Amino acid sequence: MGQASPAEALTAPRLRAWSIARRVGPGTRRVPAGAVAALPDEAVMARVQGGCGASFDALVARHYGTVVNFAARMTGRRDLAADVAQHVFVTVYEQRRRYRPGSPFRPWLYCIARRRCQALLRRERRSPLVELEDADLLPGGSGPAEEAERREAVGALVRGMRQLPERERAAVVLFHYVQCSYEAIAQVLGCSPGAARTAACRGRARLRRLLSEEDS
Amino acid sequence: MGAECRRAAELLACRTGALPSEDAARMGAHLAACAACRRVADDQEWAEGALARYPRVPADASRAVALVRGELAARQGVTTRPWWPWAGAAAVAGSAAVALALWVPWAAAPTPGVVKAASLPPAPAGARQSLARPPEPAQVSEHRGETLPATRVAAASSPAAPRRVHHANRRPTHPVVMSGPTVREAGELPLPDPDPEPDRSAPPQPVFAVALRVEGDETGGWAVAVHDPQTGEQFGALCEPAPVQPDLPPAMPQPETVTPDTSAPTRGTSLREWDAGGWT
Repeated sequence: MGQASPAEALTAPRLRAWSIARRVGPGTRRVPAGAVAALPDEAVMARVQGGCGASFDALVARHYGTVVNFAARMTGRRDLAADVAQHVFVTVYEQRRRYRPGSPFRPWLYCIARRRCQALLRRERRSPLVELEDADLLPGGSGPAEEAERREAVGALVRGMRQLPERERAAVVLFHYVQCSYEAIAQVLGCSPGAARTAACRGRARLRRLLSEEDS
Repeated sequence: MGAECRRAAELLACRTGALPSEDAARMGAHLAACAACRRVADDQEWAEGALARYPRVPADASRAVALVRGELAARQGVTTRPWWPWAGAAAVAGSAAVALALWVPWAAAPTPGVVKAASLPPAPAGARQSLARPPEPAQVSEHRGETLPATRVAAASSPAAPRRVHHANRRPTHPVVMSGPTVREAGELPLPDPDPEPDRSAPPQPVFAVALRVEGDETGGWAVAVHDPQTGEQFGALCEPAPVQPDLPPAMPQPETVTPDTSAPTRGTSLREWDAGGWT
């Protein structure tokens, strides 16, 4: 074999790196961690689409906690929230080609998370699982009476959230917990911003009524 | 909801404390006057406080990264399995299926020399007249298989074939093998001499016939394939069976009608009572 042409000399290492990245998966390209941390989500996702594993790690580290808590509030099952979040990020990596560069990342992420929660709730409707008490996560109170009262309040809140329609629950959680705007909520729910605002308002009012009925 | 309320709804979309001071002042003035917007703002404020009580689920990000990477690696091990061996096997199976589909009709096709009675044209008028004889149903069952070993036979139920055969006057000179799926059995058509005193000087007509039992023919008829080696003409026909006159048994005597004696006492109608002492 003769000497490689300049074009081959330029493209061969890049092709080799690309093929290795495809075979091994994320994390094969070394990028300084600080360079990724300063980037917005959309830019990080664009790097993930280019095969940057460190960017994907940064994305997971940035959004994992929020997605876990979103899943816990959507399903009312904190024991399954970690599984949901893990599945969501695996889906993000596998479907990274379907992300449109430049579009907001968080609605795309929470759209995946919401669908996963819906699938989990559908499955659980067929075969209910044993749930854990969310009140175990609360910091300890001063006395047993306060502890019991706090447990009761959290239990009522969890039950009320579960009784909300899934669309309204998603709107309430995305607005009050994930701090999404109504435009972003509309992208997650697949509706107009006005409809997202209406869903959130109705969800809040319904939740308040449910909790007041339970109190009375 | 008026224009002011629409503006209020937009402002309510902002979070508490996120409004500029002039917007917040206008918002406060509007909320003091509008009960609907006040209710919405009240619900929003209540939800902020209530959902804050929802306990946070602890999440270890570094552990999550390791978990997601492990899951991806496991999935990649599955998904990067080469697919082309299966594609090759599928291609081989598909080509085998195509070859089988092409071979089966070819294998079932008649061998060369086989005459398909179903494809025979109807008898030419001249041939039919030369073989005509007084109407007489063919009694094919008596001569079935006498000289003609018909191994594979075919139906001659051509739509153009006549329903009655009046010609069958020569014994076949050589066997004809036929094939077809709708024929139950085959046999030689009786070839009685149409002329009780035949003209011995005239050469025998080398016309022969094969009788074929047609399956599905509710009349029980026979299909006939006739071949004239001299002219090379072939034609098919259906012959009807002889009308069967059933031998009815003599009329049975009608049983006498017995009139029950209603005046006699009715007792002893069961076998147990018969065993006990008989009926009286």
